[in-house]
Amino acid sequence: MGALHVVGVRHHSPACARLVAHVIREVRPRHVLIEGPADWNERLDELRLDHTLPIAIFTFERGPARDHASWTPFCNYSPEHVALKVADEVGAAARFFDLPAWHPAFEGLRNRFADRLGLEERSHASRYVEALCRELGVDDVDTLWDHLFEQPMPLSALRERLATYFERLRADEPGGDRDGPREDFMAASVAWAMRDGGDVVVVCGGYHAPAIERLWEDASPAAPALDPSPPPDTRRGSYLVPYSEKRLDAFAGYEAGMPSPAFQEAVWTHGADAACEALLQRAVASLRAKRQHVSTADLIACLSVARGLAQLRGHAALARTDLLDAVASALVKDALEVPLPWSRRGPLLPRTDPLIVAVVSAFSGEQRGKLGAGTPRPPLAADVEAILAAHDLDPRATPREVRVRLADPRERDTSRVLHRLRVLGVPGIQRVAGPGFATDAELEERWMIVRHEDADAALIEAASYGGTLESAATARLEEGLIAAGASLARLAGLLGEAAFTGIDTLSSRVVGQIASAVASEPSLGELGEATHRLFDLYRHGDLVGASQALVLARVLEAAFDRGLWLLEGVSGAEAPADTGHLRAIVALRDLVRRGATLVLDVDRAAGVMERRSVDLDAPPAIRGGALGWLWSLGLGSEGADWVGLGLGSEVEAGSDAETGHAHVDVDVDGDGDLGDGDFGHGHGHGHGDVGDVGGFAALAVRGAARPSTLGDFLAGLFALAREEVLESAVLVGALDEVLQEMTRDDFLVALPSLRFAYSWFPPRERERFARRVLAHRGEDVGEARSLLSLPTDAARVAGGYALEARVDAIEAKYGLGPSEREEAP
Amino acid sequence: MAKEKAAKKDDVQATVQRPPAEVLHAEELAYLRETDRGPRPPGWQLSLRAVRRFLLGDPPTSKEKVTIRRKVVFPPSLIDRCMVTLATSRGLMLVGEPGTAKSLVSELLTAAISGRSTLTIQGGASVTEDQIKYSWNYALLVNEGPSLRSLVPAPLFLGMRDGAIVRFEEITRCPLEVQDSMLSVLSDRVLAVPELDGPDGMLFAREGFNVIATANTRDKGVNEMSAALKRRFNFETVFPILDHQAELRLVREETTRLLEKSGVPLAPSEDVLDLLVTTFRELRSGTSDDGSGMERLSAVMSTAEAVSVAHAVGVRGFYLRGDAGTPADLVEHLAGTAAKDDAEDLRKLRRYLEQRASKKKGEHWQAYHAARGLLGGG
Repeated sequence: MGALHVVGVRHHSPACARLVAHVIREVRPRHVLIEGPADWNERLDELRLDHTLPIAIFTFERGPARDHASWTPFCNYSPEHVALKVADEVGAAARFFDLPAWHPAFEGLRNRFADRLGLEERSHASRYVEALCRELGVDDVDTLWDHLFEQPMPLSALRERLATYFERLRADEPGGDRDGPREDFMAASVAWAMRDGGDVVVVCGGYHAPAIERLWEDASPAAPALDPSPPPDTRRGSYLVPYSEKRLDAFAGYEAGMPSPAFQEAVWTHGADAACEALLQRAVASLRAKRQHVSTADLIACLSVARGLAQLRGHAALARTDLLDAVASALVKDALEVPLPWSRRGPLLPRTDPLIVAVVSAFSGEQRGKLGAGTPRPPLAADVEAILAAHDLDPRATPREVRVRLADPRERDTSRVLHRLRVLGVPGIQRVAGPGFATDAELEERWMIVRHEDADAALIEAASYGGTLESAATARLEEGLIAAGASLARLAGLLGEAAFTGIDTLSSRVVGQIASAVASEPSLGELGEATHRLFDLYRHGDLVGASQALVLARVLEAAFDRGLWLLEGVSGAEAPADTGHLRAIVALRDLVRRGATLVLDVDRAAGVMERRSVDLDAPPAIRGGALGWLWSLGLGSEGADWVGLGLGSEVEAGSDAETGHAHVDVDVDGDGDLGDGDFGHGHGHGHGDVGDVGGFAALAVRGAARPSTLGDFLAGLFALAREEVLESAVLVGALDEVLQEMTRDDFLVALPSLRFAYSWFPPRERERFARRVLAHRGEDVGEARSLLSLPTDAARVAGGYALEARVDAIEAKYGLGPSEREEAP
Repeated sequence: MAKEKAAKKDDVQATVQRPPAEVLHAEELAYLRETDRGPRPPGWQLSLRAVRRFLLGDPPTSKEKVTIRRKVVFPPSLIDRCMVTLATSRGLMLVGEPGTAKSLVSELLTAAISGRSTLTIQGGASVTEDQIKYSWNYALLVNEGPSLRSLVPAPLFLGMRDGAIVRFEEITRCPLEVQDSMLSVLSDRVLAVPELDGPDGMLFAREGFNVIATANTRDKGVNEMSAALKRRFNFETVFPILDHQAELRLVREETTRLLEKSGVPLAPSEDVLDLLVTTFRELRSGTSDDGSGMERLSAVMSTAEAVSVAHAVGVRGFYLRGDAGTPADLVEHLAGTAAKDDAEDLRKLRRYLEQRASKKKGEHWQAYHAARGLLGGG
């Protein structure tokens, strides 16, 4: 019986790749078992074609119960790839011996070779690594790895060190749901190969190595069977696609393996010393190309710091972080806003210093893989061909125009196909005209379709997103949505685009990420606009099938939450009305009023509006808007006391500093358990009709009746509660009185903003308003229309007032007449 | 003899409010010097590894005769870069928010490397070149003329003469021309004393001399510093503690220590510490743990401030009621200690309590939210 040689590796580690090559060449085994999808054993020849790495095996399974896609990437220095190559070289039989990527053990895992140490709370392993980092004085597991294993050392020492490390890392941890089935399968494969009599070399993730060594002897030596048939209605596929260094990089945020792939590649091809020089050169070149000044003195300082660090840390050759640390130390000449990317695991943080971003990106590399000639075409290409034929859309040598009427359900399908191809960037498909947003009134699209020589290459490239046109376009769009980050305006645009390709296919993972991105939107105005558009789509998007879409619901809920937060932050007692802010409050109101299917915390919203409506630091328009929000929703009518909170007579008396911000609770669910004691200031009930919000509003209007703020306050109120204002005789009366009481000068000050406030009323409603005023004064309501249009323009009237004022002043100066005159604006 | 020495040390510690690091940690430093076998850069009293060990402490499993206590919570790579910079020909510039332990790290580094941390220039608007380089004893100057005897050395002079590290605290608060007087010293490592004749007229720095400057990003910052001076420093940004748990642990330890000093036998309650540290971290970073953004407070939300708030809460709880302090106490102290009664910050804090605290799970968060009325001040 032959011997078993288990080599536990870290995926994408050049040192491990060297060790694997060495062991296979030395042992010359009969079998080489490599961690990789066992269903690919019949297709290993595809991997042996003349590819430019990195490439990946892409596997998907899409069906009613499951939607899974994952990659198994290979690069030049992957131990798995090297094992395959060297096995061929020594004439050993190479096999993948791990479960296929569609197996439930891989649920939720996007990258088979992801470095899961940083990913999962493996309690024992992470504790062990933490203690080791502390002991050796390194920042994190990546630096620890470089420090322990990537330094030049004899391969036998490396092997021993790796074995000890992985043995302690694993300790007695059981495999669990995720690793258990995989390790059982691997152990069975080992037992099967060992029965054959020759030596066996096993190349697998180091975490699994100790388990496999423990398990294989008790495993059944029959070739483990796979259940090859997918569940009904489920499509399954697996094929080679090009990959890229960027996607291999842990800093890019994918669940990837080792950070800085370009550095690892250079170490693999040129050795550690030459790699550092080459990478430093590349980083400096990229900095200089970006017009960052890097002097020779800086470079010398950088190298001397790097050498110093290497010496301090006991490195024979410069390690990756020695060099990166030196770059940060010698080249950065400012305070950083966020910590250095290599001091923690995970993607680059926003606000990372541009110099650091450029250096990290140079270390990451630009290399993209290319499939060798003869690689089977991915199913996406076939899928697209079939779909195009079915819709009579085949590209021809001469361009042709296709018209699509969106109102027709069948043609809408055609539109989706074309939009998906456009999202994937397939050349030769171009939309010439059509609605910009899914709820636009335009109902026809025009497309130009022509055969393009690069279309096939683009489809192979796009195949890494998915196996069918639908899944690939969705994945591509999801990537864009995630990249859009925190800007709700951009997200709204992309979601509008998604509506054309079929919005209901977005995965819940992405939906969650988008919703949390919304939570960082900084601008209330933009949030309002975007919310209006998305809410339109949510309510009226039937035409594109976006109505009531889950993703929109989640985004709108997040926008509601964020809107409340932003609204509470707007300050400036004298700030002029901002239409964007008012539109945002309207959006928040519409969500409550019409978004019955959304999950919104209305109580909290009412609390925010209560506070804002009485907050003296809030811009008057926001105060009015918040009040209008409550009024138009019929909330906060009982128990609330707006009067004593600075909007009442105290403001008119000019003592507004005292009341600043009192604590208000409102009994929104109407169970009446709020006593007077809840209010900071319990006076002011004598001001008039306080039986409804309209009464409060009337009091509030009186309170806000300073000439400089009245118009803005009303703008807010009118924007939200137009209908309620028109119905409230009390408010209209109060408003009339307030204006009556103004002096002529005050009125002129208030006039521009008043005009703005009234612009929220359409002409017909202005007439109703005029009737109200006349009725209030007991005059003939038939005259209402004549109040709306002056025979001359407003500027001339204002000029006339000013002239009259001057005449009065001159008269008064010379004692010529009574200067006091009844003012009737 | 040893006893006597120990007694003397106790004596110093008993009368001095805050002894310098080399006195406070004299025992550890002596042990490190004794056992240090690593290569030392010229002019250094310890090897780089021993300096790192002095700052970061021994792992808890250590079986050494003297266990070195951990003094700062920093990524080891930061300490590495600082030390290597100091061993090369550039000065070290520590920048960061106030309260991130920049001065502490500079003190510890100088104590370990040069054995003394007292060669310190405190930057400020009124600092002149005299206070940095040297001035004269005017009685002697008039009597004897300029001589080494009549010269009164300032920290930079002493550091260059003795080969020690000089600390320049808050360098950016000095006028620009005073900052630039460091240029020739940092590049040529020589200080001209034109008043003296002969070899005394040029003071060449001995090995071991270097400068650690600190600057905080809240004051003037480093933007106004001349490019020429920037070029002679390597910059290190010091961040607040990255790891939530590590910060929580530090706040707990420090608070317990301070409370003991104040005669409070109760440890601060875990709930209150959790509220405090979470509030500080979220308002400092401007993002909450669910990823939503918020405005950062303009006040300094450092770990040191958190400790002082926790200390106040503990004292209040124990002496007023005999408990360990409640979320309501925390709210009351946040206004004065954290927001410094700045109106804008109070608004942000209030908004945080109104909207964020209410959404968090846990009884203590609800109590925190319910106590928001106590914030006062506006």
